[in-house]
Amino acid sequence: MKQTILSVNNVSQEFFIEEQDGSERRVRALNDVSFTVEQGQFISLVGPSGCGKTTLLNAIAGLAKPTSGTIELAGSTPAAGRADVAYMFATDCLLPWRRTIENVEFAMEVRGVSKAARRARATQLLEAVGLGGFEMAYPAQLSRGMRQRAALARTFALDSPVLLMDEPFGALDAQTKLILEQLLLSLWEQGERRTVLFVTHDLNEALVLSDRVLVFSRAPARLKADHRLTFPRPRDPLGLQGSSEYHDVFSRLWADLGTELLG
Amino acid sequence: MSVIENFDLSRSPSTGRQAKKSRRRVRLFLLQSCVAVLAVVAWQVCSSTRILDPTVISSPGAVFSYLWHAIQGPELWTNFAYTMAATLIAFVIGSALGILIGLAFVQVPLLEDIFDPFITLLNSFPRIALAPLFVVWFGIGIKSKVVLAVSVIFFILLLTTVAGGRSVDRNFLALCKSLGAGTWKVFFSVTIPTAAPSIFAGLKLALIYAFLGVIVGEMIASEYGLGQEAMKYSNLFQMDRVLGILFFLAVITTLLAGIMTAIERRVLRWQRL
Repeated sequence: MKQTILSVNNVSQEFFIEEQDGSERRVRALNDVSFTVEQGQFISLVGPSGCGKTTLLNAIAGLAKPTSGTIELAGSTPAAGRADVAYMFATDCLLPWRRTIENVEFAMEVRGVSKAARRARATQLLEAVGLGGFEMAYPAQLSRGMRQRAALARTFALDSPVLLMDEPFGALDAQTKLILEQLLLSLWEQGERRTVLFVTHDLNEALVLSDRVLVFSRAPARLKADHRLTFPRPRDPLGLQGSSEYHDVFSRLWADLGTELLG
Repeated sequence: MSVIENFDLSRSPSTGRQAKKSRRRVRLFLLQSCVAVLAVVAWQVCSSTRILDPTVISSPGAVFSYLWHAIQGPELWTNFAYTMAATLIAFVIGSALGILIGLAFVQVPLLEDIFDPFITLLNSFPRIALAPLFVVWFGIGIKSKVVLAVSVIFFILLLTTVAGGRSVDRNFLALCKSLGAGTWKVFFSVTIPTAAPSIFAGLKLALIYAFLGVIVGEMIASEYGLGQEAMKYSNLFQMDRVLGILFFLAVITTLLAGIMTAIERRVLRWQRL
C-alpha cells in the first residue's frame, strides 16, 4: 500500500464579495471537501469553470487558508513557499527581462540552488522540453506553446516531490495542448514519480494524464465522483484517445460532469 | 554561456527586412537634412533682405561665425564647464534621490500614504519663480543653480519610479510567493526590472530639465556659466552670441540625450523584441 501524502479533511472555503451598496456578501467556494492522495500519483481535479478547483489547489499550496477543515501535506499544514511543493500557473509567468534559461533558473535561484548546478539542470531540462537552442531567447521571442514549455522546465527543475498545476495548458490550442500533455507525461514518467495535482476543466486532458480523476460539482464545489483509471503506463495520449476502453470511461465521467454543466 | 553563444534568432529570416529598414532610414535622414537646410536658408534670406530686422533675429552667418571664433577661445569652454558640472551634479543628485525615495515608497506604501499630500504640494510650486530665492539662500555660486535643477528633476524621478514600481504583474508575485521568495529577492528580481523602463523615461526627461534648471539659475544670477553669458549678451543686444550659445547648448543636450538612449537600449534590450 502506498503512503498517503495529502489528506484534505472537510475543507470549506468562503469569500466576501463587496456589493455595490457597500455591504458584503458571503460566497461559498468549497463545500465540505474530503479526500486523500497517495504518494506518486497523478490526480486530476475536474469540474465546471469557476467551481472552486483553483481555490482548493491554492489552499493545498498554502496560498490561501481554508475557512474550515484541515489539510495535511506530507505531515504538516500547507504553507506558501515550501521546498517540497512546486506550483505551475495557468499563465507562464516568464519574466520578460530574463532569457529563457535564466527564467528556468529563477525557481532554483529562489530555492537556493548553486549557480553551476542550476545552469546545468536548466540546460538539461530545456533540452528535455524541446527548447534546446532557445536558451538565450527572450520570452517575447517564443510562441505561446514554447513559453509554456519553458514554464514546465522551470517547474520540473525543482526537485519538489509535490507538483500543483493549475490549468497549465488551458490557454493553448488543441494540437499544442496534446503535444505538451505528451511532454508532461514523459517528464513525469521518467525518474521517481512525483505526486501531481492537476486542475483542469478538460475531461480529455484529465483522462489521458491521470491515475485518478476527482470530479467536482458546480460552485460551491463538492466532491462528486472519484474515478481510478487503470490505463497502462507509459501512456500515449493520442493512442489512448482512440481506444474503446477510453471511451467507456469518458462516457461515465461525462455523465457525472455533464449534469453539473447543464444543471 | 558557452553552449549558447552562437545562437542568434535575428539572423537569416530578417536580413531582407533589415536592409529595407536601413534604406528607409537613409531616405528619412536625407529628407530631414533638406528641412534643416531650407530653414537656415530661409532665415539667412529674411535677414539679408531685411524682411526681418537682423539686429533682433541676427543671421545664420553671424551666429556661425561667432561660434567658430568662440570654440577656439577659452571663454566659451570655461563657462560651458561650469554649466556642465552643475548640470551633471544636479542630474546625479536629483535622480538618485528621486529613484531611492520612489523605491522606498513602492516598498513601504505607508510612507507614500504619509508623504503624498506634501509631495503634491511641493511639486506644485512654480520652481522657476523660486530661483531668486535660491540665489538669496545659496549664493551666486554653483549651489543655487544645482538646488534649482534638483528641485525640478527630483519629482520627475520620484513620480516615474513610483508609477513603474507599482505596475508589477500580480502573476509574478504569485510565482514568487509559491517559490518562497523573500521581500528583497522580489524587490531586486521583479520590482526593479518592472520599474526600469519607467525610470529610464524619467532619466531622459530629467537630463533636459537639469540643463533647463541650471541655465535659468545662471540667468537669474551667477558668476559663471553659459546661462549667465547668454543673459549678458542679451542685455548688450548681441543676438548672434545669444543664439550661438543657445544653439551650442541644444547640440550638447541632444548628444547627451543620445548617449542616454543608447544606454537605455542596451539595458532594456528585452523590451524591443
